[in-house]
Amino acid sequence: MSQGFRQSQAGLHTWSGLLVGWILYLIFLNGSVSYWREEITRWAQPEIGATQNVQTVAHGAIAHLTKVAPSAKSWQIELPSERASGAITTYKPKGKPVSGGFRRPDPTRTLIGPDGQVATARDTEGGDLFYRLHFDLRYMPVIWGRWVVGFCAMFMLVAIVSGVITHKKIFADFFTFRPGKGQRSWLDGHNALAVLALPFHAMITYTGLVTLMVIYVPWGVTANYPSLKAYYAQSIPKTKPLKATGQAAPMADIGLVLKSADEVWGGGHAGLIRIENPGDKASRIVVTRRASDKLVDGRWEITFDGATGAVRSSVAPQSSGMIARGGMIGLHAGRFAPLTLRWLFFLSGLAGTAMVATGLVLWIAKRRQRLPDPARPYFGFWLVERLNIGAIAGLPLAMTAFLWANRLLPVNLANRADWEGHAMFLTWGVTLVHAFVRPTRRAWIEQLSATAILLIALPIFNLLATDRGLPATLAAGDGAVAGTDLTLLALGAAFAAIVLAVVRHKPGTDRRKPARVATQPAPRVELKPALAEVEA
Amino acid sequence: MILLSALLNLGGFFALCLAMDRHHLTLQGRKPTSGRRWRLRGFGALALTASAATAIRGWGLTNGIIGWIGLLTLGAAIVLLGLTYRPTRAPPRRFDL
Amino acid sequence: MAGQQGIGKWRDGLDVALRVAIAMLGGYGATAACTMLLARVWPASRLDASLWSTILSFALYAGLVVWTFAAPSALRAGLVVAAIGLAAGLGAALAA
Repeated sequence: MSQGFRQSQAGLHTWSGLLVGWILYLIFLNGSVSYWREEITRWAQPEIGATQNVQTVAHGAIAHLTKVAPSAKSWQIELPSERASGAITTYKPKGKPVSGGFRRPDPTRTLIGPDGQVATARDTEGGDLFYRLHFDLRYMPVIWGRWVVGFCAMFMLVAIVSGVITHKKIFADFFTFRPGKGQRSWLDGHNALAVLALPFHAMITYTGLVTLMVIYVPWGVTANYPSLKAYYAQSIPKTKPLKATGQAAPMADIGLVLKSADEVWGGGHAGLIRIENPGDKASRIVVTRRASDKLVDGRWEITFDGATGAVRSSVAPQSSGMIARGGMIGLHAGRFAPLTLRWLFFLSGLAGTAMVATGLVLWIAKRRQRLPDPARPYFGFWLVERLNIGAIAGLPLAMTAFLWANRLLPVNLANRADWEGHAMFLTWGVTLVHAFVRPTRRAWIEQLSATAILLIALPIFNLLATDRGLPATLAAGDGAVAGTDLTLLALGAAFAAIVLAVVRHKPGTDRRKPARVATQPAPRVELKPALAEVEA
Repeated sequence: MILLSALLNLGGFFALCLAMDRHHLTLQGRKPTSGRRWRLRGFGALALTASAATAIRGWGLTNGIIGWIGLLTLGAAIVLLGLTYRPTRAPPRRFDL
Repeated sequence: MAGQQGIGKWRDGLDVALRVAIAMLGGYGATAACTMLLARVWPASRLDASLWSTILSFALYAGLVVWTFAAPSALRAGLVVAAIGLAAGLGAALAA
């Protein structure tokens, strides 16, 4: 590879990474945490325990819907999985539906607990908040969020490609990490995090783009279809709604229907049930397969006759394009992954998050030593250094604040779920201001320490103030909630370790190789004022 | 089976690491002979392949390939950290950045 | 980086600014045209053709961006990207 080519990619890599670095950090961090979306939701709703028997819940859901909406146009039941608990029922009444609007939950939405009874749990988004944040962002129309994220993802893709091209010693430096050498160490760390998990980073970025590809590059679709609507009609076939006859007929037993579906799929699991014209002679039960059953994200559906329970039809993804795309979405979302594999995804995601963070810090470390007057850095340096603190240290603190809000906000607060989200972003706002007004070193230490303390305090709070502390959840074998508490402890410890490292860190003492031309020891004296300023 | 896959991964990367001049020098005090280098590389490649086979055995084909790639990251990371922070007779390395 | 003689081709801010514009805007346009062409000539059902061409479009876009910054000059980058876009656009129109 020619020197010029490699060199040309170096600058491209730096700028494509820097300009969107803080948003990428948000995307990577929230995306990684989203691999535990269902577990976090379970943790956020301590009122609901783990589901032991799906049949119990399904029967309970049907009983509830029969009671409250016997003459509805359609029912929908979202069934629990190995990781999520309880069922969510909604229905569409006859006539004009009462629309909830986005992020206003459906007013017919009811939670059925593991015992089959209607459950009341605190209003919370749970893990879904982090999940949606990483591609929809927040406080803006969803489509804007997706455009921003897509833009950043494309920059990320370019950063990956240019990064690999520009990394001269990608094999020679594979196992190299030299701590305690200032800028050299940051570069080593950034390289290690990037190269060792390179397959993941490339996969997650590309598949992320593919997941929303029709928004970002609609031209492949518009080339062949008169409109996007025509394309969706072919790719997501909708069956015509069934006309109710008005004659009542008892509905087939849902337990038997679920068993049938299990058999047709050869041991698959139902994730979603839609019932059209329940209780009518002409009714239909459509059972959709659980996303975690397969790598490929797609629609595996079986349609049953609602009255007799006989299988009417069955669909599965057929076309190579749908399977390819579904496979890529499946890889990105990781819903197929069993526990150990899920941990590997999560750790790789954290490596990606740290890769972005070390890249941002490296930009500062590299330029700090070239500052003519470290007490008065130029605007770009000052801005990047402060934003780094507010983003890298501030965002985890804000996310922890969300979890605290989940615990502390009164259960009957109106719009409680919204307020949990506001708590996160209000905290983030405070950390951003803090990052700009405090001396930089203090700001890092204060924000990181706060995060460490708050993270470790959460499981302690659970132990002291709820009946779902670690001893209880471990004894009950509740892996989701116990695992979350333990992970919070581990993350808190990690942040504490980072605080210690920052406290011992002396920026500017970059032990570079002595220049070939003998220089006076004067540079050492000049460094002292820089150190003094930073250690304020 | 998955644990075996992880261990094979670790061993494979350790061998590949040793096969590199600079790391062999650090760990053994001298550069490897040409013969040793190729033996280490051969063993490393074999171990990583075996790791893939056991991962597929334990997880199935698709999950196995995906899981193996994840274990590659983990194995390489452990070797890197072990190499960097290995206990030496010299005074302990300060946790400096 | 900028200002170093001989290595790197970013002689001045204008060169960089041009390349950025060519990469982001021209690159997207050329990608769009190539995607349309590919969607129309891909030997499969129109659903699969649309899907596969779109899936591959991001790799193409990334490649065009990398090329734009590696090209000997901003002018050359602009000409190449424009040529690709026009040729693909023409092809897509003909293949309709």
